[in-house]
Amino acid sequence: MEKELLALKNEAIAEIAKITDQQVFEAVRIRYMGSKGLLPQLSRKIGDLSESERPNVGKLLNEVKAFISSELASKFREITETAKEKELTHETSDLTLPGCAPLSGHLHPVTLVMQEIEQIFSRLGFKLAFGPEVETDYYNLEALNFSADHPARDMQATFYLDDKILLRTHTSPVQIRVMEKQKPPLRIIAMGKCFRRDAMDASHSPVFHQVEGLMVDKKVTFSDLKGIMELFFQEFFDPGTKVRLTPSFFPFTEPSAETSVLCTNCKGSGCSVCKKTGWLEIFGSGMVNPEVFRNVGYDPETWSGFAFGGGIERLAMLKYGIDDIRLFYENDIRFIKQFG
Amino acid sequence: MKIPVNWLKEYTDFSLDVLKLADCLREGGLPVETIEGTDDPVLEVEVTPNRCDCLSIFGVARQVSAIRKGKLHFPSFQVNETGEMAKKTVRVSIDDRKDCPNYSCRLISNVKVGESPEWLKKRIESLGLRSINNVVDVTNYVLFELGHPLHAFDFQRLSGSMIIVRRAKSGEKIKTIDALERTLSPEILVIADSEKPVAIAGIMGGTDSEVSSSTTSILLESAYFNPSIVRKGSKILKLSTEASYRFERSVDPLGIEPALNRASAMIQELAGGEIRKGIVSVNPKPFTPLKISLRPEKVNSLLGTDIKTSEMLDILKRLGFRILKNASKKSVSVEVPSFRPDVRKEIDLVEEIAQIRGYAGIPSTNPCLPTLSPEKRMPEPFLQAEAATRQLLTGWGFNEVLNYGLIDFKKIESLNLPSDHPWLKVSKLLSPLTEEQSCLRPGLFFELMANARLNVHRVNQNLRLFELGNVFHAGKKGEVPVEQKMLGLLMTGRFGNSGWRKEDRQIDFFDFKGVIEELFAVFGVAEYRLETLSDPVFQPGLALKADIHGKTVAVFGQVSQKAVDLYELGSFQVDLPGTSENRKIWFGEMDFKSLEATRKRQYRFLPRYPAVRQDIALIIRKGVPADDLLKFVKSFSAELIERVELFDVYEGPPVPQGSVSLAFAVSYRSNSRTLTTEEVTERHRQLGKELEQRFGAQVRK
Repeated sequence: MEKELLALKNEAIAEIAKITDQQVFEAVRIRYMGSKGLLPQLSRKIGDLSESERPNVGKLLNEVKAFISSELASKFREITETAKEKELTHETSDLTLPGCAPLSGHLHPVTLVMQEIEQIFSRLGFKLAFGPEVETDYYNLEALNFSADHPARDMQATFYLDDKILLRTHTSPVQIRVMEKQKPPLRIIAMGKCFRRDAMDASHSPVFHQVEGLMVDKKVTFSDLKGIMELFFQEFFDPGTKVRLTPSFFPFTEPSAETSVLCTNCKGSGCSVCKKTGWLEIFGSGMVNPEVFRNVGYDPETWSGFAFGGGIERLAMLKYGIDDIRLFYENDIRFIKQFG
Repeated sequence: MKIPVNWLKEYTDFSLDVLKLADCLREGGLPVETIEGTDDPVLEVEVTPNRCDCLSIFGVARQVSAIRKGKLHFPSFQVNETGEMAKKTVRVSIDDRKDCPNYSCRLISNVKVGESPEWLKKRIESLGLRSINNVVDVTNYVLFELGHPLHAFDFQRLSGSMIIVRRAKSGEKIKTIDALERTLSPEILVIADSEKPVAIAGIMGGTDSEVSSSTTSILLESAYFNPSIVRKGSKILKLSTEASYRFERSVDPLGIEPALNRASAMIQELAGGEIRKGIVSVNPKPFTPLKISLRPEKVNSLLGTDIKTSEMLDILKRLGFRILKNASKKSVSVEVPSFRPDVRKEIDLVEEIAQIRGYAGIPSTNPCLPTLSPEKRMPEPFLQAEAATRQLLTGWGFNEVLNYGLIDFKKIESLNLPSDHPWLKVSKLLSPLTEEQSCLRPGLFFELMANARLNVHRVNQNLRLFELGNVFHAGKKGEVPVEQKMLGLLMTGRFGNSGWRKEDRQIDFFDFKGVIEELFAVFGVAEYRLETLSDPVFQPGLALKADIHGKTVAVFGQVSQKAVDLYELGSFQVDLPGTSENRKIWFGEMDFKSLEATRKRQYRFLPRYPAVRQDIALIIRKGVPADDLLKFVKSFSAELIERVELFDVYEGPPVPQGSVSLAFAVSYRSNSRTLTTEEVTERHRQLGKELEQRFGAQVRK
């Protein structure tokens, strides 16, 4: 009996080793372990043995039984894993097929530039301020020291809804609204839509966005304005950006300055972007005109301040190399998707 | 303003090449736009509207001399008067001294009008003008040299030998030297003889009295006309000239005589003739110069500089200002020259000093930025809502668009909206550029649809667009329209991005509704009611509105066929291989204020006791809103029912016709204990009973 058991064990080892698929596995399992299989047949014979033989043979029988079933189990794992692997390699035969990207949306470049400006100035403690897009003559012009016959009052230059109601031509009225409500000191940035009655072409748009900055405090100087302009443009373009202020005229600042940066495209050697001048005029700026302070009830002997402003689209065009302002308002998604 | 460089050199000495000169002018506030020619270069200089003193070559020379610290030479000339006093022959009268504070003229007889000499022709042509004759060329020459416009009349053609400065009579006509007949009105100032207008004051002369080859006697006019009357006349007549440009910005009241004399002397030199004795004028008002007190310390404290007082005064002197006396150490009295009407206040002097010294010389400093009070530094709360909206929507695949906000009123009209529709409260522009941009948008729909049209026509077929912008509703006449910030959403095309795999479908109502609901959910807006919406913008039965406390805060649905056709999107099928579905366009608009009121974020304890899920399937007649059932189940046992979800909708056998099977998963949970199976089963049985009674439903077993 013992010999028989050991022979059976060897036989099973050999047979299990040869198994390659599920069907053969099932046949082998039944042949040894099935209810009418070889092992149960042998175990039934134990009863025929003498009392003294039984414990040893019984023990051996259990060992062989455990051995074969563990061999079968590991074989089973082996063949099922092989089968799975086969299946997988079959299903994804070409891994170079493109993946299916998740849907992702993009922000408009004007928003991106506004976000960047906000980040730069909020670190300097400037707060975002807002005002309406439809303004009155008072806030858009009069309080900003525009003369009664200034060309901006012309129906050919500005969109009017009524005698004294117009679409704001710049974000500067926000300065007045904020100063009327709050006492100095203050630092604000205003951004938003503006309207001018300019026919549309590659560099003009009747609707555009502007950024406006205002700082009022006790000893604000023109040299501070220069410092802030340099800081902003260096952060917005790149740390090597050169900034130049040259005299200009705006009714609400004095002294006034045109703020230019060395051409971001040609670095000053002259190209089509800077119209061969080497410089790009970007912001208007200056010290707040005392008249404006008087209009909002600030004492110009105590307070001084600077203001600056310019077009967002122009900044975006320079930053991203966009050559036509109309692209911003077509809203072709192939354009929008290139930025944010 | 054209500046021939060699001509400029006659009045001031500088040794700069033309590029360096351009730099110097720009630093001094006169940016050079173009440089033409190399041998005798001509600069095109931009003059800001306040600097009327720089509208002449001599004026620009003064600026250059101030910057370069060079000498300034006024042109030298001599007037040789002969014969009788001119005022014996000519009479001048002014109706209103406000319109014309000073009118002066000289009479030159026996002139020989003819061609100008070559040098004069060349100079006139370098300014971009055409040489006419020696007399007219001289008046133009002096206009550009000194900035004072002059006019030469053929004296023999002036009836009554007189000049009357008066307002035009209504309907009075004049033929101007550009050969056009112009009809005048009393808002326009004219120069007339005893019979008729002979010139439009400060703007253009008439042909009748024009100097021609047969002219022998000349009346040369040099005057000061009120800037606003010239501006008005120029606007009414739509006629702008070199003369009107200067009078509008104001000319030098003390420049009348020098210009008149300079031109008379030149005419005599080039055309011969006798200058009659004396200038004829109506007692010119004496000019009283303005005095400004300047505090040098103020200059430095504003500019952030350390300029010495002596340097400041030197700059002002070179610009023609007179320093009166050192009243005190702290302030200096400065007299403003007649040619600088733009300088009125101390700040104007600060600007002069800064410009002439050069902005480049002003240091660049970091301002002191003390922390401001919370209300002056903390961002407005709605900005967070805007940022969160942008983040969510881009995360859901929406692209942001920005539009003008100006739309075509005809588009609104063609939607046939009912008369109480909010989109009919439109503010129109008085002077639109085009009909397509004739009014302020009352809703975001129009431009988003135009964006969809452009993209679909360019084969960008699958669109998810949003715009965050203002819409406008007209108020009463004379009132500013009400601005309202809205969030607009538009979807069309495929739902997913399945790429080369076949399975995909067109975006449907519930995809779109899910976006709106999720926005409300993220912003913690729970108390809204959805109701069906009937609106010509939307397909009947495929639109909803969301109301909060009776106010509509959002509308959304499938865009109606009419509106789709209005934007030429009707014939574009959706890009789904193997199907021929018509493209559906989903549009929605939300009042952004409803999202701005963000909830406070507050942690709620995670549940400590287990939940028990019980499903319930109902057979119910079609037409009972699922939302009512959901709301009822939730309210059935607010303290024990944590959540209810609709997980299956089924129609067809064995469900009888006209009915539908809805299956809900109800999650029971208590915050204070573990629920027993018995009580949950009992509750759930009661819920079933209630649903059967209230809604006529039948619980599927």
